[in-house]
Amino acid sequence: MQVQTGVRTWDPPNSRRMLYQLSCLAASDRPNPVMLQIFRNILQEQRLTSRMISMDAEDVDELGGDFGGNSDDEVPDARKHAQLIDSISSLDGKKNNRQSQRTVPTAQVSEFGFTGSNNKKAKVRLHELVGSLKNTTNHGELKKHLRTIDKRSKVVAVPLPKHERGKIERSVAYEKTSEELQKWDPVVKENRMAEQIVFPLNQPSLKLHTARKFAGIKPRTPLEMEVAALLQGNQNIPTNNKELTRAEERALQAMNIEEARERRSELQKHRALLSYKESKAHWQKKIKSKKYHKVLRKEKMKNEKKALDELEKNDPDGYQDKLDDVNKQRIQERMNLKHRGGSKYAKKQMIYAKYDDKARQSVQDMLQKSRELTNKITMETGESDSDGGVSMDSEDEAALLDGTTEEGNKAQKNPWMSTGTKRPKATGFEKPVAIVNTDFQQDVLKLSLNRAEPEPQSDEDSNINEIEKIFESPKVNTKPESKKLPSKVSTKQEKNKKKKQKRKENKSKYEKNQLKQVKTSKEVTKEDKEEEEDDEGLMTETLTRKQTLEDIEDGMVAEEGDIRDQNNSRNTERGSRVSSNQHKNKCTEVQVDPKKLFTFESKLANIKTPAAVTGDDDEDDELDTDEQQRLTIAQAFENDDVVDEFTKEKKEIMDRDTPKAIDLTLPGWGEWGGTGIQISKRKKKKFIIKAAPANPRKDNHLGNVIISELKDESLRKHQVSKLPFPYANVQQFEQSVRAPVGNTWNPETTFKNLIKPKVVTKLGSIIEPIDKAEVFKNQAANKVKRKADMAFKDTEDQNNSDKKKKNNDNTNFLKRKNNSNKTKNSVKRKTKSH
Amino acid sequence: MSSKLKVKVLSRNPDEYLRETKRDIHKIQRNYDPSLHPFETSREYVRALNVTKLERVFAKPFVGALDGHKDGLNTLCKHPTSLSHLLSGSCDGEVRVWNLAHRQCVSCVQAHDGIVQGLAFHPSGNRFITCGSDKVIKQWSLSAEGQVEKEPKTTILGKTVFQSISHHNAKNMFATCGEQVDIWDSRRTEPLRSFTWGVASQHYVKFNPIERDILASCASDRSVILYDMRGSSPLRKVILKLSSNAIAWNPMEAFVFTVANEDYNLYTFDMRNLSVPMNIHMDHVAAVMDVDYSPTGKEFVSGSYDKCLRIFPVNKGHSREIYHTKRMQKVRTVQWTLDSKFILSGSDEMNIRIWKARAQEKLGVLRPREKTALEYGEKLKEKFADHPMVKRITRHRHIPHTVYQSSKEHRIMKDSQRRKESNRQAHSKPGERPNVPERKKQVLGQIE
Repeated sequence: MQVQTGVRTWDPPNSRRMLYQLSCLAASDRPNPVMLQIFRNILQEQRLTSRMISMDAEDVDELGGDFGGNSDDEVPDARKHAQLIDSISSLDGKKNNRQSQRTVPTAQVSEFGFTGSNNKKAKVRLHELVGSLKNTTNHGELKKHLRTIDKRSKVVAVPLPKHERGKIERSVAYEKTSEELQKWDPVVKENRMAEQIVFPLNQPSLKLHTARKFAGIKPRTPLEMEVAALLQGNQNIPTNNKELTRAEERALQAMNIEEARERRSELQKHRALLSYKESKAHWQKKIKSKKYHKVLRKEKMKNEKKALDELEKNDPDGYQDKLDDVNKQRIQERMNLKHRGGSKYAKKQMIYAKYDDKARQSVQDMLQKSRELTNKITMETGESDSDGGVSMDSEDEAALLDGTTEEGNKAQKNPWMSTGTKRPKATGFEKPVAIVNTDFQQDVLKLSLNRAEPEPQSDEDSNINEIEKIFESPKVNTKPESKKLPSKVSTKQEKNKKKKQKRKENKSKYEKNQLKQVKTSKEVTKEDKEEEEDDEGLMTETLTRKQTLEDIEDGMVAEEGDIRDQNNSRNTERGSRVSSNQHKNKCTEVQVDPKKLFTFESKLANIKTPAAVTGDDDEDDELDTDEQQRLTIAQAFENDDVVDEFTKEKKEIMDRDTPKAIDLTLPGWGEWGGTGIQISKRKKKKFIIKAAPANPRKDNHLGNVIISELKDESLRKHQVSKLPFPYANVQQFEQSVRAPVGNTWNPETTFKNLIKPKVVTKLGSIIEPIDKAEVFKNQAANKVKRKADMAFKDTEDQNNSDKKKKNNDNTNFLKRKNNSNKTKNSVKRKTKSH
Repeated sequence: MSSKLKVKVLSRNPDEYLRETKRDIHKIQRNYDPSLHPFETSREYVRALNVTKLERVFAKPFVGALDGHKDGLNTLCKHPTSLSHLLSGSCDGEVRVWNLAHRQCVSCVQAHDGIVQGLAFHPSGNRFITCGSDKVIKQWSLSAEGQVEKEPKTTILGKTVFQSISHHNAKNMFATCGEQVDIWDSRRTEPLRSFTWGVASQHYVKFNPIERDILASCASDRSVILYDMRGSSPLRKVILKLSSNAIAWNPMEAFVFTVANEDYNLYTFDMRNLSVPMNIHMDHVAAVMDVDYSPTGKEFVSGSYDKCLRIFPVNKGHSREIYHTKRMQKVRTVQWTLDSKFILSGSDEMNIRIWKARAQEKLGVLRPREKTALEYGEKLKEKFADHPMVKRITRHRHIPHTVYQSSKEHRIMKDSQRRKESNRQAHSKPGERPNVPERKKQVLGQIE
């Protein structure tokens, strides 16, 4: 019997744990021979432990003896020794959590012995265990193996607590079940979306079965099988649905040499034609004669016009589209400066224009093109003609091209920007033309200025003005003209006479500045005025020509009257004076009096626009913004007499809505008839039913509002006030309501389809829950069918590939046929082309 | 040659417009050009309005009552193969078999001491199982005429009270619940399997009629638990704010079920996503006691302690119909018959009531023209459903005063809560009080 001591290199319980671990390893992983070998070795070693332990004890005794220094005379007392060791270990101050010791020697080892060991140090590592093995070659190999195992294998984890395990089990089961239920999704979706479901779901199909279904014989004996195979494989056997056999079909599809030749020649012809056309276009393009191109172009234009006319007659929508296109082009043209000196080329040409006729011509052409493009499409009303004069006659065009008439260059301007110069119209309209005192030199100077520094105003139209001015003759043009006005315009004039105020037309800021200059130079002399008129030639806003100082002063006073005070007497006075002027000049403009119009004007005027935004000079004050506001409004409603129109409209509506007396008198009934006979009082009294007085209108006291009284309140309760749920917009909803359902408006079949109920149940029959087997049986059957189809296709492919070797000509066709029957026609063509 | 003068004569052939016999049908020639019918929409609107009004005139849902029980009804069970038979169990332990067509009690048996807690038919329809508060499960055989044998075929004595019973749709198995959910084979006296999860007792169990091995139960810890009969453990548990009273599986959609809850609402769940109910069905003003799906799976009926039945479309949050009578007390159980035409309700005052599932529906076979006219009317109602008058008339119902008052009260309460919540949201840091949708509020959580 051996007695253990405190200090050990070998701890039996620990070794047993090691063994246990190893056995676990062996049990868990696949029990490989190496493992077993180790196990065996260790067991062998363990058998030697008794010896080792005794040796240990001796060693320890020696150690103790060395320590105590009196080993020789003391009997080895284990307990004392243990105490000593304890005291030594407690010297270092750390709490010694030592393992419980077994002091009583027993054959049985307590199982609690090694579970209680919490000490980390007490853990036995595998290498420690192996280290105890002897250094033989056998063991060396074993160690090697062990190392590799140690690297690879892991110890089985401790089983989870029950509740944790349950949780995992449940979640796994749930996931699995959910996944299983996933297959119902398409079925459920289909049932939910179905237009009609008929219950019970699995009703027996009442189809009529023909004898053919049962007539099919299944080959059983080998002979039968052979025959069946022959029959199935034969190309000359007609299949049940088709008229022709496969072989016949193939024969039909096959190529005919003559046909192929024909086809080839046709193709050749096509190619030749194409190349001919190409070459023709090529040399046509190369022709240098301008006249030729002109003629060509004219012809083209003519054709186009013809087509357009035709379109107008036949296809109004298409025509409208065309018009829209033209309009769009116009807008684009108006937006860019491509033809108005914006492009690099144009700028260059402008420089050369002074010296080079060709360059001048090209610039002219560009301008012409721009005009053509920006030309507004003439309206029937003729109003645009009268104020804009945008439309062009051939004569005008000619004049413009010639460059003989200076006004011609100005005639095409934007009506808003127009300086008041109007060309005499070929239609017989005569308009006054403001004096245009343009100095050629001045213009050139300006142009150079513009080139030298960035333009103070990037107004495209001023740009074009300048370009045009280059081509003006250096003559000074002062043509006071008084011209006839068309009847229409003159009637307008009559209307305008009633107006209290006359205003000049102010079109742009630039021009407005000029106006201001005019204003400030109130006490200007006649000589000065002439200079001023030079300026005014560029930016004057009137149609009337100011010939005297008085005229100018008049205009200015009128303006100030507009702006500052509303002295009626003055206005009327001026109005009369202006009307007299008008009489002289026979020319006016149609205008709206903004004062009369808007109440929010003052508000707008109060909002100070920053100078940076407006681009005004420092001199600009509040008055100017105010005025500008008014001017823009005046421009915007140049042609509209909004207030009068509104009052008129309101009056009309009021008249219409007032209840009227019903006249039931029959002329000549009960008295003498004939012309000129008045209806008697008695009759009037009896047969004219007076209407009850209408309720006072809601908009009676609201000057600027019309409240319609036509709306019937009783209808409201029948009308839908909110857009119902599934509809995206009102149109959709209205459409759904509009389409009638009844058989009064629909044919019987449509009606039947429309009123199909969503769910149909059969009286007295039990509706079973949806049957899983039934539902998925069909799907499974489909699957099987699809598989069979695939298999059939494969076999067919194989057959075809066999034939491919035989018949090289038909390969293409066969391939196609296998892919799809839809492309049959194309296939035919292809085979022909070979 | 003499030239013949051709004269066209107006002629009318009577054959074209006169009928030979009274039953002859002539085709009426019509011109469907819409420009000739400028008022088609208005005319249809008037028709729709008339149909809606007539529907209300003809709405007489109550078909009849079956009386005979000597105590309040506790459960009903419809016969799986016969439309005319019905089982009912009352609180005094009596089970009766009814013939609905004759409105008569066919047979009657004293099945249990105490309440009959559950009734379930075998899918063949020739036997049924009952369980009672006397801790006994009994199997009874039933003749084709509806006669019950006086003695049960088998009796199983349990250790605890069985609260509910449900039969597997195909196999010879059934499930009971009480302290735990047990799966039984009808030939054995011991349960095949028992599911426990937590300590709460379970008071309702129901098999899925489509995916037949799945079942669900309601537990007293406010939870609804799902099981798979094939596995050894439950699947998942979802906890609501209050406990649920009954479960009904949709017979057309395998993963959809609806629970009747104590909080006056019904919740429709997708089994695969229990965190949020698919829909909340509100309208009852007291605890909902029972729910049953229409066999078409489009609607379900619920019975409540507010003495009303309500019919809900599956995808709608509010009921389309409310049934009540003066004498009907708290509704304990409801069933939707298998032909989807009738609804049966068992209530506390010992009567079983038969209702039409569609209140205005005409019973019996319809002539084709009649049928077409009705279908057309339905279509028109659908078409003009959003028009205020149509909507108003369709929705108009007379309801008991108590229901009216309490629903008003609930509305006020809900409004105030909503207002309060919105105020809180408005006055707190953005994101601090996220807006929780109503559906998410009701589910406290799901446990794996």
